[in-house]
Amino acid sequence: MEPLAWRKIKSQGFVLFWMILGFIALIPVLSLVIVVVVRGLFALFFDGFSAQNPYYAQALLYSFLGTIIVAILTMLVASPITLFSALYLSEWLSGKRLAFLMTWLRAFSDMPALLTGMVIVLGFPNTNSTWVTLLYLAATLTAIGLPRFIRTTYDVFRTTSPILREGALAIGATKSQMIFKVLLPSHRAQVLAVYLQQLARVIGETASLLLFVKGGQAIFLSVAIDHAVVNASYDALTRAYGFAFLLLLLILMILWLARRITNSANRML
Amino acid sequence: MGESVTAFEISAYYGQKKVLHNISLTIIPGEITAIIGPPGCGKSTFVRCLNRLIEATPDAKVTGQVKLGGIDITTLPKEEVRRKIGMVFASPNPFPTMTVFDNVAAGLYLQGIKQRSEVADHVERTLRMASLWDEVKDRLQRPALALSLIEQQQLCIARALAVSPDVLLLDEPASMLSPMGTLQIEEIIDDLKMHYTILIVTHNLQQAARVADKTAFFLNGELIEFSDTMDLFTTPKDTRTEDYVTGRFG
Repeated sequence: MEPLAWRKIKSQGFVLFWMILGFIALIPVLSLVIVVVVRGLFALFFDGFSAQNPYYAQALLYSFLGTIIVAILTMLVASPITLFSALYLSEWLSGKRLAFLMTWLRAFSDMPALLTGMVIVLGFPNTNSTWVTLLYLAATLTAIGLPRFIRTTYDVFRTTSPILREGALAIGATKSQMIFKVLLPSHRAQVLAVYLQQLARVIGETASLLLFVKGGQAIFLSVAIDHAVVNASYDALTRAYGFAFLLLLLILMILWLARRITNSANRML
Repeated sequence: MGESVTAFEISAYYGQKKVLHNISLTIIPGEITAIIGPPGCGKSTFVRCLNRLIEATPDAKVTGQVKLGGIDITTLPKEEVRRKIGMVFASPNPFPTMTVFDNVAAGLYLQGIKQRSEVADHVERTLRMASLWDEVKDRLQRPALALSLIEQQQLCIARALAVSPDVLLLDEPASMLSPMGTLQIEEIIDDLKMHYTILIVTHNLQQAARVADKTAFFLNGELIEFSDTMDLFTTPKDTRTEDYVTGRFG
C-alpha cells in the first residue's frame, strides 16, 4: 500500500506537469495575440482584394475568403460522400468486408492520406484562374480528408445504442425508414459537430500541406502566412501574425461551435 | 384478444455457434407467458426469433417455424410481422429527437397514417392503456427524454401498442426500474393481457411468479420445462428447474 503523502505528491506533480505543458502550448497563441495587440490594427487591416502580394493589407481579406470558399467547397463535396459511406459501413456491411474496409480507412486517414493529397496537388494544372485553383484545392482536400471524415462519422453511428435501431424496427420500420427517420435525426447534432471539426481541420491543419507543394497563389491563410514569412520584412511579418491570428480565431470559433453542439446533443441523450 | 404464437423446433445460430436448440412452445392469447432462465440462456434470442428481429443481427441464422394465428410468419413481410408482434425492450428507448406525441405516433406515421385526428385518437388510447395519459396529457409536445425512466418505459409500451399488435413481447421490461416502477409495469401488463397475447422475459423469478400464467424455463439454449407457473415453481418436473427456482444456481 502506497503512503497517502506520496500519493498526494504524485497527484500534485501530475497537475503541475500538465499545467506547465498547457502554458507551453499557450505561448504561441499568446505571442500571436500580443503581436497583434502591440502592432495595432495594421496586422488586421482589411482594405479590398489583392492576390499578388500576401503581405499587402488587401491580401488578408482575399486569403480569408479563399480559405472559407475552399473549406465550404470541400465540405459540400465531402459531406454527402461521407454520410452515405458511413451509413453503408455501419448499416449494411459486417464481418470480414467491414474489417477490411475499416483497416483501409484507418491506414489512409493519417499519413498516407496526406501523401495522397500531395501527389494530387502535384498534378495541378498551371492556371491563373482563381476559381480553377480553388476547385482543385477543394478536390484535393476532399481526397485527403475523406478517410478520416468517414471513419469519424462511422464511429458516431456505431456508438448508437442498438436498442434505438431495434426500437424502430420493432414498430415495423423498414431499414431505410429506420435510418432516415430515426437514426439520422437522432444523430444530426453529432454528425454536424463532426463536420465542423473536420472543417476546422481543413482550414487549419490539412491545408498547410498544400503550401509545400503548390504555394503559387496566396489563396489560403496558411499559404499566405508562409509567403509573408519568406518575405521577411517587418510589415510582412506583422501581416503574417495577422493572418495567423485570424486563422486561429476562425478555427477556435468552429471548434467552440462543434463543442456546444456536441454538449447539447449529449445532454439531450 | 390477440393471436396465438407457436414456435416449432426453433434453433438459432450466431455465426457457427448454436444458441437455441429446437425450441417448441405455444403462447396462448389472454394469458401471460414468462420465460425465465439465467443470463445467456437464449431468452432474448428466442423472443427476437418470434418477431423476426433477429434478422437485423449480422451473422444470425434461424431454423424452424413460427406461426402467428396459424400463419407462418416467413410468408409475411418482416415489417408486418413486427407490427403484429410488438416488442418492448429492457432499457427504455424512446426516439431521442421526438416529442412524447411523435414517439407514440411514430409507428402510425411509418404506416402512412397522417390524419391528425386519427393519429391523436390512437395516441390517447394507447397512452391510456399504458397508464400514462394522465401524466403526460399536458406534456405531449415535450421531448420524450424529459420523462422519468418509468414514464419512458410506459411510453415505449404505448408506442408498441399504437400499431395495433396481436402479440406483445416484453424483454425484461422492468429490469432498469425501481421496485415501485416494476410494480407499475406489472399492473399495466396485467391490464393488457385481456387484449393481447403477452410473452415476458425475466430473470426475476418473483416477477414471473407474480404475473405469469405459464412459465418456460430456459437453460443453455434449451427449453427445459414449460408449464403452469404455479406447477413450475412448486412441483417442477426437471431437477434443473428445481435447482434454478430454489436458487441452487443462477
